[in-house]
Amino acid sequence: MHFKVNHNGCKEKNGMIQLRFDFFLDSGEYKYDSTYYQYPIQSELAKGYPGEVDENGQPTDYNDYKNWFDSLPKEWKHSQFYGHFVYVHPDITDEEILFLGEWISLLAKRNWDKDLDFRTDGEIKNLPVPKVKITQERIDLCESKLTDIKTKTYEKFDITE
Amino acid sequence: MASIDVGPGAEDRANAWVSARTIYDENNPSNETGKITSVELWMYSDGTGVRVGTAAFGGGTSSTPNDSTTIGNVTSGSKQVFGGLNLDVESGDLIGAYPATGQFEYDNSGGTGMLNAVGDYLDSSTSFTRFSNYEFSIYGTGSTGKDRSFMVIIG
Repeated sequence: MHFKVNHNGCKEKNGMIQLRFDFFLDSGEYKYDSTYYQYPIQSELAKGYPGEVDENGQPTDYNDYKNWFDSLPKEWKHSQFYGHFVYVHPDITDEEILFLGEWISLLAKRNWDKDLDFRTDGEIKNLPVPKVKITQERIDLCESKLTDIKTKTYEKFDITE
Repeated sequence: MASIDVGPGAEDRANAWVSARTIYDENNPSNETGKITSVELWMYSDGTGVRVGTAAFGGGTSSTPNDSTTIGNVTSGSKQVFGGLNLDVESGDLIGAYPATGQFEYDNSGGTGMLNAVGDYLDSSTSFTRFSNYEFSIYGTGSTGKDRSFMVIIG
């Protein structure tokens, strides 16, 4: 199992930094194959649907659209098995981000291995913290930290209990 | 604390809605006021720049946004679960989403309705177009309790 901080889910929110962690299975782990999927090669998909669309941009013949989509050349992609968000203060360190990722990885994997519902049965319990006072200075601190975070890669491999 | 749920469910549906639209689902408005902490999505094609939000419509088609956040990229073809979120919701709010690219799966029958507007209107009010009986693949859950944000406590 491994995790990565997914930069495109990281943002300032309510004076805190929202971090997105993505968790991936490694070969041989429970239901590893289920996290692979076939998807059209991006350059082919980007050429766009050649059929007719209505005023909303919807294909007028959905079966034709689906046939076009299904006919595109595909490649295998590896998906996360779970995504988790945390809200942290802007003085968080790189080491703490990595610690959070590893810790949540273990909790997420326990859920996955037991086929638990992440919404209701999970072992991942985010705890409430008091709201912070949202000032421009606070937002600037968050944005500055986010800029720093987005220049770095946060990931850890071969995580086991 | 009571449980909150909003939205029809993230399921494998028959159709795919065009991207770069804000869509809200009229099925199963939020039953309580509190926080949505988990969102499930099912997309037909991979999403990028996916955002989710809550808004009040009062039975009409004009939105009063409540809260929103960015999810980012979303894998298609299966139910994707995102936890740990901190999204405000009021009783009666609808849950909605905006994908910069990628398509949400939807059904055009069996539901209450879906509201559509071209562009990202999760944070600003606008008038939506209603598609009666539609529903798309989104589901949010959480719990009541005010003035709370969520994080993992170290130690």
